[in-house]
Amino acid sequence: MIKFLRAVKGRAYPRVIGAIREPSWMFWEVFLPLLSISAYVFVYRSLHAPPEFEGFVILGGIMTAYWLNVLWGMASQFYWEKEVGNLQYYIMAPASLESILAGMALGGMFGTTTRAVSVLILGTLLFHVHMSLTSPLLLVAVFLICLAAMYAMGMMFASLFLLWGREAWVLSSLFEEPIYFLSGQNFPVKALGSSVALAASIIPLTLGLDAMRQLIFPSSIPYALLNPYLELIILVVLTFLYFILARIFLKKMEKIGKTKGTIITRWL
Amino acid sequence: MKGHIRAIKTAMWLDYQIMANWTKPITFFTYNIAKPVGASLLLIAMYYVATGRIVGSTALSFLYIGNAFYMILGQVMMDLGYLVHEDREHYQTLKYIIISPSSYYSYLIGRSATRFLLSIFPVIFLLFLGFLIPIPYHFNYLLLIFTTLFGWIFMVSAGMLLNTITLLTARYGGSIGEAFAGLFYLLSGVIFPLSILPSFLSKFALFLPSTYWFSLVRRSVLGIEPDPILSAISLESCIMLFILTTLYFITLSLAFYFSMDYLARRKGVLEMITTY
Repeated sequence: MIKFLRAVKGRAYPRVIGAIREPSWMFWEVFLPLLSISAYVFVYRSLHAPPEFEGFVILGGIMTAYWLNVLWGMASQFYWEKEVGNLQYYIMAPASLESILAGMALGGMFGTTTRAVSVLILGTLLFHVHMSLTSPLLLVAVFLICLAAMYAMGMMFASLFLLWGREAWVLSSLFEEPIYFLSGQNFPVKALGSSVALAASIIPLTLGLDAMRQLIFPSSIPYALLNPYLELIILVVLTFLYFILARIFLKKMEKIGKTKGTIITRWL
Repeated sequence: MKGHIRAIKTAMWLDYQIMANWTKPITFFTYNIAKPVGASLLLIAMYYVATGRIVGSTALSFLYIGNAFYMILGQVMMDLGYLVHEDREHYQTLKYIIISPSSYYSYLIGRSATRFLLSIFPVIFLLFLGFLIPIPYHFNYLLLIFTTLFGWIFMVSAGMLLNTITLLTARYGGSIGEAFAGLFYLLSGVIFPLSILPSFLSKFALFLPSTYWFSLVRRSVLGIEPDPILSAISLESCIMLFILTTLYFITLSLAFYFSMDYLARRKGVLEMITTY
């Protein structure tokens, strides 16, 4: 257990330091998402949408930052490490791959949280978004469990993407805009129809966003897909499911690596 | 001249191989279309929840067409912004490309040309999809061809500006491309009229070639310019302003290209590895 935690700390360390080492990088981290968030807020303004819709955009922008980190900082990471020649060190190291991935997740969450908090503060101030928290504890629980489920999904994808090779890169890219649409990034997901929205609930982002929208903007409750408590329970189930699948796929990846010997071969 | 053309052709071929040789062409083209369609559906869903309807209106046509054509600009900008990072740190081939006898500038033009051409397919698909909404098309084909082709020149010059900056920067590749693409998305009247922006931003937008490009796109596809600020500018003036601002961007990108290339060689950062 101690070895596991040391490996987690060791892998999280470069990400935490990397996130705060160069202040100018923070500028891009904050400035970049604000641009698209502002554009979507102005779309709602041009359509004379109710003011809480602008809040949906801010919330969507915050959670999207985590989703992008899951895709590019978790799911694609083993493939990237292989390409730059680090993967063999991870495999040879006397630590489990799960601990390496957990370290990446924690470090990634830290870096993304600085970005998310800045977006929340700036976005709220710039667009005068009014939030009324109905149940702060439930909100925190939903947020944390949603992150756990998303990063567990990222762990699962990490080994799958490594096995799939270059297609992984493409999949990460493909899981951006179409997932923003399916998860209801900027709008209540129920608008897609209950069946499509429920199918999209296998993406933790969908349920997390829907629950948080209800808890931050009570006027959005009529547009809600499910009760936030039920969404929290489903998110807990998804977290365990994706974590178990991640372990299965990691073992499978190791087995293929040992039998075929191609797991660290670059450009495949 | 022959050498430049050969370099452009080779770079175009290389770019296509990098992007598409992981799969069959049909799979690649499906993937190429999926992302822009996802982005368009997101906007249509936003329009639906805000207005309660999905049938065509001027506002919907405005954001649908703007977003469809933005895919070209966004793709070229983001990819050109990331290209140095990719060549230098992922493939670790930048130093070889730079010291080869062909011009690096021609190489960049070639790489951007492929991205530009491949980005046109999703736009065509989205235009066909627009018949279902329905978008009230009134095509001016000559204007559309001019706008698209001259638009590429603007995109290459803007992308080149980013690209050469990233010769000197660490880790910024993707961010700079995305930031510039995001700026154009926000300030060029792509998905909402300029009049919605705070007045200082809408005034600034009039200095960007992309503002006139999107205006010309709307005029050539919809036959109208619904934006209250840009509709006050005649078609001829809009074309002239687009050409002038593009020329300004070309000059700026060339100045940056030569100075950044010089500095990168002097500082010895062409082999820099900054990922971890």
